[in-house]
Amino acid sequence: MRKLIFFFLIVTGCTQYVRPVAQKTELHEKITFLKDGETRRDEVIARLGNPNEIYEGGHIIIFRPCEDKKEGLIFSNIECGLSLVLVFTIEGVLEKHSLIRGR
Amino acid sequence: MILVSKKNTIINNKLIIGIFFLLAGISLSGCVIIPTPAHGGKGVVSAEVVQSFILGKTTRAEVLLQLGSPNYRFDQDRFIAYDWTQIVGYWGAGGQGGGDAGGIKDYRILCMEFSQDNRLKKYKFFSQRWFKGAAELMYEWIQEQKQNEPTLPEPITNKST
Repeated sequence: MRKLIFFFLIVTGCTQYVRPVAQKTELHEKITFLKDGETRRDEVIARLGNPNEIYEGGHIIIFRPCEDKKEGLIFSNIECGLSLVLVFTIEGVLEKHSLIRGR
Repeated sequence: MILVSKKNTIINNKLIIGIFFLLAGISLSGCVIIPTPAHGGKGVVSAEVVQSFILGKTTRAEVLLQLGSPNYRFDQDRFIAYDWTQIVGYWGAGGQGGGDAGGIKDYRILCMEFSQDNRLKKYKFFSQRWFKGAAELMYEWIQEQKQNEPTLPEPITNKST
């Protein structure tokens, strides 16, 4: 029975679930300027470039950055399993944002 | 005469032994399937996360903040879908002189429908069923939803003339 439980623990441990990740200062330096309730959409686009996806007429925008151990986040058109989701208010101020791993 | 019968006996014995090994080989070889809980895979959306969403309340923004970029977008984002592949078991096939083994993969999709006010209306998980793939089942479901409500009503806006 113990062996069976051990086997199931091993096989289920390999799964990579979609989940928001905590931002690390050194790796995510390029997005430390993002402050909910403060940062404006114009500033985001000026710093990070055009988003990869736009929803609800710009209310939600998504960037698909890559994570490099030396350079941190790299914003390009290559998809690397990361999503930076930004939600703005009608006035264009950042309401909420999250970095998701697994997408 | 005796020699011939002895020879026949030897041939018969060899034949019987040969048939025995042939039958044993056939019966011992085959395919083994070991089902396991779904595991592995990247970008897996857990049922727990989806169950935390409240129909009619959770917004598209909240879903995207939690799950990230979807794999599919349909009908001006009325439908969005996430897909992933997981291992649901292992197979092994062997016999005389060799064999092979591997994982049994299952392609899964979570499709979500949003209402006109950008709130989660419905969601459904899809996986291979008999000869129909998850994508095919999802497209059928989307068509069903569209037939039930072909076009979403235009949002009410104050238009100054």
